[in-house]
Amino acid sequence: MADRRETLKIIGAVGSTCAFPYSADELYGQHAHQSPNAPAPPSKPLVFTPAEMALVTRLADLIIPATATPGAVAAGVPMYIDYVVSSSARWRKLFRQGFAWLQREKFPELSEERQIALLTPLIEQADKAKPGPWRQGQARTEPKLSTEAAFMKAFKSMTADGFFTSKQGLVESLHYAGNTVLAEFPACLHEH
Amino acid sequence: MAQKTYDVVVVGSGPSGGTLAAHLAHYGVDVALVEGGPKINTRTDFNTHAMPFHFPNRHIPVMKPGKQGFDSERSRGIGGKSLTWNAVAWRFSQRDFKGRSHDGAGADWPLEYRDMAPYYDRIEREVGVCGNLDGLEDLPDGHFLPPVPMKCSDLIVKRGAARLGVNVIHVRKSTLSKPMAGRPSCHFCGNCMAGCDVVAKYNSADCHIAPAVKTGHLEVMGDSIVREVMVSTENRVTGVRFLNRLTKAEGEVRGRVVVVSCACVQSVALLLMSKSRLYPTGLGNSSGHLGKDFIPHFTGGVQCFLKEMIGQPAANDEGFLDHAYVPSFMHSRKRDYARSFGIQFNYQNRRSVGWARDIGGLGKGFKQAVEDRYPAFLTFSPYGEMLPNDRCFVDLDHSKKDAYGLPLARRNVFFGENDLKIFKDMTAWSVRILESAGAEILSVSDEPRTNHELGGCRMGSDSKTSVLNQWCQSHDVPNLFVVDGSAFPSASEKNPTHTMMALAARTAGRIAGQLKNKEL
Repeated sequence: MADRRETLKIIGAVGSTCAFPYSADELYGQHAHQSPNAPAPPSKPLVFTPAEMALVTRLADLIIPATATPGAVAAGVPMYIDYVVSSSARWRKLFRQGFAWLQREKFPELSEERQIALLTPLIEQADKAKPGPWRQGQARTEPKLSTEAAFMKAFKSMTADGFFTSKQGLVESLHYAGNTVLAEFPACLHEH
Repeated sequence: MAQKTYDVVVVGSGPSGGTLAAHLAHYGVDVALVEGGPKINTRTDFNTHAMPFHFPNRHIPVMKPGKQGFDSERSRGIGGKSLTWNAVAWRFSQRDFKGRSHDGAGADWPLEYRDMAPYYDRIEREVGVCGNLDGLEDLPDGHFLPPVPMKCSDLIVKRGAARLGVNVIHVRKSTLSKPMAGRPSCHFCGNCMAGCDVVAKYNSADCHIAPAVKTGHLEVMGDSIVREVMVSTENRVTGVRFLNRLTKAEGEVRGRVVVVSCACVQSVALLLMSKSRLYPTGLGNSSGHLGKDFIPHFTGGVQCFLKEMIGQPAANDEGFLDHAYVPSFMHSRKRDYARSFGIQFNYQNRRSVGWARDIGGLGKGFKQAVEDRYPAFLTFSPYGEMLPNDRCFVDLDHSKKDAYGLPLARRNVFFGENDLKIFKDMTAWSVRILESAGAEILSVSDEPRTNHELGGCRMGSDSKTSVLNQWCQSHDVPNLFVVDGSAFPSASEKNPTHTMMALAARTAGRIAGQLKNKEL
């Protein structure tokens, strides 16, 4: 194995002339990248009711659907959003307002086409909303958004954050290839 | 039992304090190195290789569960900021040391490039710096290990920059491109700033402090939060008082010399807290300049996608973060401001995809747009040099105390006219270079943000306008030294740590010599 040979070569190269040799007794051994001993995710929602979870699941599925690769629902995004919303009174309030709006629109009963038609202009409004310019010593002005658009902006951001940091998103959808051991950094062989 | 008096008490174990303490020990000087944070095992304690999905909130904490905390705000932990730095290592040039002589703004250093050159040499040989010999007047070459190849995306930027007559060079880092002194070469996992777990990247704990302890001349006292440097009525510092980080028990350690190396803002805070009858406004502050002349770097930033790479397969190209650099090029161009800027870029870690939320739309189109752009994402961060101004300073906020009852240091940041002119121009140049490289721009920051804290305790030849002399020695108290970024009278646009380490090596030689000759 190349990695093993590389490690042995490295151990053989202990410097004796350097004023500050890295102490041989502290030499690292085989370098294995290990996963941390991470806490288990919560098994049931912290704040959302079953009906709210159903709404969150539907919205997340519309924003990042399964394609050739898994979508937001398979990646556990609804539970991630529950986790984020549970941490802030501001989010809890905005989501209560968002859920009330979706109920008023009878969202669960709409066809997929009409659900998308309802969300699209709000997402467009949210995508375009930018805070005011930076001025020294002054707070930036927040973009003016309707409650529904602010809710959809937050929801889309949380869905994107949750999905693209999940294993399904980062590894299966984006094909993250890093966090490995390379004996050397490969030079680019393209014509530039 | 009589308390031991060390030759030198060094407060802070980062790249400055760690380098200085190790060099002193190597000269045979007895050193107590006092550090506020715990000992950290760089091999096992950091979450170097974690992925965001290992955590319910998708945020990778610095330390593994159950490991003693590393205080990122004050970088408390043996090794300080060198544990989590990005290891960029430039030499300052003669122009950087003599900015005022060149353009009349800011302050000159009371020393020349030739005074520092031997110490840059020494640090490079000691810790290993990879880089290319570029022969640039403004970025002196040194003793380098081979450079690491540029990324494909770097070469695309380089080609675009070349069309505008702008140079892109290999980055220089204190990260090994070849095994050296018992340390392995980098394995390009892309997680440098999470703490390198094989010590391919320099950190002061493993590369300077641990070997120096074996000389028998260096004693490391962790978990000791220094709250005061003691001064006698004969105008001599006599040691430091500290609080145990865990028990809050009081303690003190005595020395013939005290060196403060707590990382810029914290060094200033410690001196401001060390009030006495002789120094009612802070130790060594007869000039009134302690805390003033705070000149952190400021940065902005552009996020973009290189069109050529959109839709290409994702590459394992995190490497050791940035592999290339745009060195300052404005010194030789017509401009309406003093000083200049350099550009760090392509240092993003691909485990983080925070930009995805800013891609428009929803559904399959949105998902596909993010998937296509993922391999092409690139960050571009110009760094500008700030000039000192009266409204930019560090003081203590007595209304806010930490868990030890100590007032918090407060950074009062204000950008002057020259700073804002640089910011505007460096942002415009960033966009110009990226557009020339065929980039789709996602966002352009219009807000200068500070990084690389410098100044507050500046050195100078005039004791009325500076706190230290060229040996980082207090103008007021001859056996007090302050060795870290706070001593910088001007910031350059270049990442400062390499210069802090060279300054620490130079000061260590001076202190050892003066102790030997009984001049301290």
